[in-house]
Amino acid sequence: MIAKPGGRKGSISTSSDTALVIGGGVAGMQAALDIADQGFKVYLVETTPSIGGKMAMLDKTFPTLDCSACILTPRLSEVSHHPNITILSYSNVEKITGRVGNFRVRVLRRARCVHEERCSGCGNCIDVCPVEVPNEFDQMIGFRKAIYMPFPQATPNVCTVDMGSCIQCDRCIRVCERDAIDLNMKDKILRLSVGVIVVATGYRLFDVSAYPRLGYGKYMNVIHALEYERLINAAGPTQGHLIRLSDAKVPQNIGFIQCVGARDVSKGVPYCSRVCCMYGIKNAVMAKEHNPNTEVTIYYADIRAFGKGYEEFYHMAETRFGVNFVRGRVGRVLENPENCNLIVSVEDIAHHELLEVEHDLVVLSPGLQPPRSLEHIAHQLHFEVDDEGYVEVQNTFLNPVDTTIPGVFVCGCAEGPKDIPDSVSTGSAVAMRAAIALLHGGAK
Amino acid sequence: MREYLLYLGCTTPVRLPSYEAATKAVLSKLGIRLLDFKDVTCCGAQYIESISPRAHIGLGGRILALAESQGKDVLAICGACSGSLKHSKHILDKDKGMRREVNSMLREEGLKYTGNVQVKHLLQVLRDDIGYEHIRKAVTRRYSGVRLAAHYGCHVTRPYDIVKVDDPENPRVIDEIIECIGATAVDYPDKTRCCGGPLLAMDEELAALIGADKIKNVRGVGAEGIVTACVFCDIHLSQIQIGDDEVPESRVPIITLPQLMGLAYGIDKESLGINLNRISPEGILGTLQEGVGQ
Repeated sequence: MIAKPGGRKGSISTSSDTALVIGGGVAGMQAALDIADQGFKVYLVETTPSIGGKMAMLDKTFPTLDCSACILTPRLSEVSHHPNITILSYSNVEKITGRVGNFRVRVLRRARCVHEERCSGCGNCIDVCPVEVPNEFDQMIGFRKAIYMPFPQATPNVCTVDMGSCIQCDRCIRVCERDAIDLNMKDKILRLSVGVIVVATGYRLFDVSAYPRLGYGKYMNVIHALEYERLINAAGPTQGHLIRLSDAKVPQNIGFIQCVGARDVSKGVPYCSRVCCMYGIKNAVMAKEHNPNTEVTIYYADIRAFGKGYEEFYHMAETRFGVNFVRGRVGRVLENPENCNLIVSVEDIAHHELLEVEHDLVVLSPGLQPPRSLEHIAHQLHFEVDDEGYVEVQNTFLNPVDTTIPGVFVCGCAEGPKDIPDSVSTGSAVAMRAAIALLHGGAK
Repeated sequence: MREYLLYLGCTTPVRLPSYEAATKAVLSKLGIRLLDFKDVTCCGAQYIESISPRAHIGLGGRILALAESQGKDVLAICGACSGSLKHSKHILDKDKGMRREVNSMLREEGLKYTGNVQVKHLLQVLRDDIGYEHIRKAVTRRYSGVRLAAHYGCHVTRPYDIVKVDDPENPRVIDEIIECIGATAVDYPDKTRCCGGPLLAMDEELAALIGADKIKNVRGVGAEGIVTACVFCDIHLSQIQIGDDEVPESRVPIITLPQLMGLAYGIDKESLGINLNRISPEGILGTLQEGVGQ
């Protein structure tokens, strides 16, 4: 039996057959699509200029080594073309009041200084822009212009002006044939009325500079995994050439350090981040794919290859690709000032040996943490977060995507670290829970 | 005026009296009153601790109870002493059984440990009680252009949860103070590593090797001196540079933080015991700019 929007029981009324999804990563996109496919309207709010989330930054996925963008980008256009989905990118959820069936949401639409409905994404403006600044999407390794698209398949496929670095030379305005650019555009407030809310705010990477002994931020050839992803990505700042940042040489001997900001009580991250073992192994395999003669070593505490095909992938990395696995948490990384190589000190606990190994590139594999913006949303919605800052669910076993607040659901890494398949699964799960709530006006 | 009982420990008065003298001179200049701490024993760090952890807590408990009987907090200037006393306090505050046992031993002397006193290391007093601003303003002769390497030692900053001095992986206090008085603080590889000193009793050769590494790293970045805030570190880093094989000209001077500060405050060399430094810090002193305050 299906109830009509509007609520059956009288005690709860709904004025809305609309859902709000906060966060446009792969989990939020899946939730939006699956809600929209059931006939409801969806507002998908994303804080950056484009949806796609962290997955858009990744080069390959584990354990199949599929191209991340090849999986994701068709999904991006699916979302943007869906008649029931409205993407509100470059926007922030500011305030939420009300309750299930009738949430009122204030969204700040930051001025991107480009009219989305006029811009065709041709990029003529980007070509003439004289300002270059580090590109956040490339983890500040490459450059972008002051008017930019973070990546070629950015969705919505429109440009954004970073007014913080724009010098207002007006060259972009002169070259734009569609009069899409307006440097005087102001932020706007949008008021929405929605029946349910899906929190899909994703994660942030642990700030690896919290481990000064590992040398990140001090030595140029110590990088973290997301920087590495951009370096091996054909659309990245080096067109996919894996080089060292100190001298642009191709690294011949790479060390990957696992569990940086994971399973460490002293850094406030006692939990396992689930994905680092596998993305670390994937990155190591990719180093071999780029240059089979590269020596590649992974320093790990345990290998947690829990998913389907993961253990086999781990085995393959060792036997077929020849990745060297050393069990031990790295004590410190020092730079050899003569060649900017790194000396890794580690106790190989499987062989009771103290090792000092010289690498020409070291990649730290950071753990995952909840994004800072989640605190604000939790505060607005009055739901609980756990000690680590992730969203608490009502019941891990029976309602794994329901928060403690009726009509508010959670998917993806906002609830805890997840790989892509699990994020997408919770995205679909959340869509079903959200649809049920919308149908019943929150009474169920 | 803030007052502390100055806990000297065993080694400072015997082997590095200049550290004691300079601490007293500088802190009195900066408005801290130090009181003699009478009738105290060794803190028991490492030596007693390795044989009987309970006796170690007992010694620490007695020292802290004595301070309680005078109603004053304790300042320890030795890295091992400050670490050890804080460790004893940590155990006594947490472990009720241990506190009962220690108090039953202390009863004979009419002492009782209740947890009412704080233990501070010199770096905490400088940063928290006095503050960088005041440290900077009190300068009458600034250093200029001299590059100095801070050495923190192990027990001053570790373990953080107990000693609560500074980030053990990225300590800054000595560096900040070096900058406050006009000199340039330089970073160097393995900055937070041990001086090697504690290994002397077991393996002299290894202890010297570890210390030599430190000197090499400091020399590698062109620093003209090492600034310490621990008596063992100071002695060991000096000692390993003195021997038949060592070239006197290539020695890196080791100077305690209060000595370095005292000179910038116009305190005379004699009062700071500069003549007792085993490697002459004249190169550092030579950069002092007369009559240039903040």
